Amino acid sequence: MWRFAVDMSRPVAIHVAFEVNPAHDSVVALVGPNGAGKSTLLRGLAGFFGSDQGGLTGPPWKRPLTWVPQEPTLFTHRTVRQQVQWVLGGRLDTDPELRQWVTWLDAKEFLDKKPLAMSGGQQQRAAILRALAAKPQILALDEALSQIDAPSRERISTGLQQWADADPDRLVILTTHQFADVAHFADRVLIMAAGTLLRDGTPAEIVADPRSWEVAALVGYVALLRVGDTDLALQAHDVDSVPPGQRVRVTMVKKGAHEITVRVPTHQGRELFAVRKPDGSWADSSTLDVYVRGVVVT
Amino acid sequence: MFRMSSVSRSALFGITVLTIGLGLVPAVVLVSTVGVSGFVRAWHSSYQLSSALETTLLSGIIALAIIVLLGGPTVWYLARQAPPRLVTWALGLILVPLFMPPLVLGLVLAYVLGPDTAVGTILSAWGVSPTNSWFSLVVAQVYEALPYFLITAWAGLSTLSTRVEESALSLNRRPREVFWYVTVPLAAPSLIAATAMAWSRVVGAFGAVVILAYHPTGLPVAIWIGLQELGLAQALPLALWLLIVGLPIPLGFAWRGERHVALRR
Repeated sequence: MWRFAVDMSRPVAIHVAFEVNPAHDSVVALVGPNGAGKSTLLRGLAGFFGSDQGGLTGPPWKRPLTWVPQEPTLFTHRTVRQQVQWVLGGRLDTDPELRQWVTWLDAKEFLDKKPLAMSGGQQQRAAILRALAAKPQILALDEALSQIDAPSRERISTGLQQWADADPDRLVILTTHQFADVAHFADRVLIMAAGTLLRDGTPAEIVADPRSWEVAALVGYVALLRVGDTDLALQAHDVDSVPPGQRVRVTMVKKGAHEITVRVPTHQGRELFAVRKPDGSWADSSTLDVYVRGVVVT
Repeated sequence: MFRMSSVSRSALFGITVLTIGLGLVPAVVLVSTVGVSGFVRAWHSSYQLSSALETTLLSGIIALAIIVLLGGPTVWYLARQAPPRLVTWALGLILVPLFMPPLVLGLVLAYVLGPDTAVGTILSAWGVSPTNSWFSLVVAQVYEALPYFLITAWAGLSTLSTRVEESALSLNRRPREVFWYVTVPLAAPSLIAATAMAWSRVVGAFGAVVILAYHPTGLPVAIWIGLQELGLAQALPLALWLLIVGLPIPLGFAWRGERHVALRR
């Protein structure tokens, strides 16, 4: 069981603590909008600042965690092979696991190149290869797949899963602002905003019950029915475009997929919405609290 | 690389050639005036040349070593560790000596190192002559050149991302290994530029040197003496020797710079 905690106020406020059992969850994704504190959290876990009150202690070079920042950090004066071998302390060809990674990362094409002669995606793949050469127990990737093309990303995601599953102590922590990038292969997702954790669960759990608009928006919802004291307002870009008075149908996802009907009346020049529940009755605004997919079907 | 229109590129090329050409005028005039024969003849005819050359080279190497030993860690601290406000103040203070004409710098230093001053008295007690000595020569050279080293090295080092070193530390490599394998090579272009700049200032240091260390006589002072005693015919060949002595490090920097530029494109 790994316990992680970063508690700091400057330069960015981060108050986050979580535990991961790598035997159960081998790939954990930190998802949040820009400025949520994901990168700072990883940097803190790597030991560069913040009071780490979790299980990771000691200076960065003694931690079991290897961190790949989102900025290009390859050494511009060395080839990728030289850098990997410096970290490995031996020849790349003699390490079966890294040889496998050269295939997964499609790294042969740039192994003997220096970073300035490589594309952004190649640099990200090289940074992952170099990090794995450190033989970490925890691999922390900060937006490390963001510039990689979709087919390569699939292959690398599979590789990361296999790498983590090969040893019950291994863990991959990766950050992204796109939930869809990790939904298919993360065992667990932590949703972050403004330096705190908003939601913690499997991708399916979070999709089924995001619990707040911040989380719902991050995992791909485009509309949220908010129940106020007076009106139900459906805030969705596509639904907003529905002409007043027209009927739209949306899918209610909380507690199962119920269908509800949204009527679009005109009220003081704005489009407001009332919701009809599956049983046909109109929603009581004091009891309804649902998230809806904002798919206009009419 | 971004490509400009051919007209703009030609205009920029013309301005660049003009700028470099203007900068080279003194050197071209010097070389054409002295010529190879005058240059060689100076070695045999000038009784001061060999000793001045030796003095300039030896004191210059010592001064440069002191500049790098003092300036390197200072710049490292300012670029990597110091609080931003301290950096702002420090950079401002570093520039102060540059606002003084070197001659004035020498006069002010004479107030500190003069034989009757506290520092001068202590140095004399230790057997070190505070003026007109190797010690004062090196001090004057260091004062004239150190700010150039600091500013140039800081400008280069501060643009290097700390993330590169941090990610290297996170690869389970100790700070000392990261320093030698990562930091020093990445900082090398700016450190070499700073060293080349400092060397140019050290070997050409005159204003402060002529006040603090007329003896032992280095090349710049020897040129001055030659001009006063025998005129241009004596001074200019020595000046050409000074130019030749100063060139290797800047040329080495240009070679490194070419490799660096080629790599970036």
